[in-house]
Amino acid sequence: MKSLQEIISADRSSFDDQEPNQGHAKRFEQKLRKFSEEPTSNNPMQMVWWAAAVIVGILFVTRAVPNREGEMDQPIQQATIGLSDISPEMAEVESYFMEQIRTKKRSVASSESEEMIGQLVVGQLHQLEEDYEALREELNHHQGDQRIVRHMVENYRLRLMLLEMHLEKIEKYEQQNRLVN
Amino acid sequence: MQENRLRNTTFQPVSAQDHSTSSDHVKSIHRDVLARCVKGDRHAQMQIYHLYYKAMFNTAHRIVLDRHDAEDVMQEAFLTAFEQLPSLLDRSTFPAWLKRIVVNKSLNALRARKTYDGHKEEWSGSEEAEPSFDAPYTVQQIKEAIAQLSDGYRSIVTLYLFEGYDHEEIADILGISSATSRSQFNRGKQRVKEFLMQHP
Repeated sequence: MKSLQEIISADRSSFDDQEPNQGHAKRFEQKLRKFSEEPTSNNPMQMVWWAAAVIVGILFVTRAVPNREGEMDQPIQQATIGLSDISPEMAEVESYFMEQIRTKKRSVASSESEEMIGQLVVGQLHQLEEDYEALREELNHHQGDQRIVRHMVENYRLRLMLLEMHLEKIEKYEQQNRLVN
Repeated sequence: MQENRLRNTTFQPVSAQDHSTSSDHVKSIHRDVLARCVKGDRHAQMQIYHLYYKAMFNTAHRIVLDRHDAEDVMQEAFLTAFEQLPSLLDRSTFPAWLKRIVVNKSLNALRARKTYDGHKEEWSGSEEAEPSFDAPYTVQQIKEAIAQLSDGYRSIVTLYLFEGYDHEEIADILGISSATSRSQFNRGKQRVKEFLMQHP
């Protein structure tokens, strides 16, 4: 006497006996082609867009940001729809980026040399956070628009990248200081 | 049992051997191919498609029970996976991650149908005894018996028995309690047994 589970486990591969209809690989290749023609993060136009965002961020540097830490740690305001509402995968993506950004910000804030490096990254981050809010609002008007979702993910990725670059700089600065002293 | 539950969370390409050195080799090729997928290399993406389409098609088909829908779901899942691959931290979990996308999309396709009957039943507290099967049923008979279950029972039974998820994971996937998952699984299994006895 066997349980259903034992019967299936003993012969698991035999249950994967269905093949899609002929020509499925060709059909997929077509979908793939169509899909990659849509704007993605590798699209040159989008790179230009992000370069513009970074430049705008740099322009903001001249403006001193008071109470920097408090401002940086402000939670993102809840709108009706966010990335996490798109799908469980997107929820994971969002929580990963949020956690990484939070950790990196903490490292930046706890670093003594931070003041010396300058406030370049603060302005850029601030701008990106504002951009993100605008995208989120846009998403509420065009629910499920994949292009907006991609921009939102790209926004997180860029913020994380900026923080990582910044931390690297701090580390280098501190290393040099150690050598001098 | 625990080992069985874990089989989907580890790296398991369809064609991998259990031989450790060749499996390391396969893993390293797999890593390279996925890295090329991230860069949008269409040839690499087709390689990954060829490696996993069959397992993923069968997973989708067991839930949606329609060849056309299953192909759509499976291919959409690959597109989503390629798009979101840069956010996957541990690429060795790619097969389990891809399968989860397939499962989510299959369930969405099922829910979109007018005939979807859901998981309305709440846990009644009665645990039926584990049904055992003494006749040597064929793969086809078991597949038919599972296919005749309602959408709700069928998705739980297939996620548990074929896809290797435990009741906590199923509860998370379906948005129900793990107690409901457990009791519906037991009832579903009981119905499979009844069907098999009536259709020898």
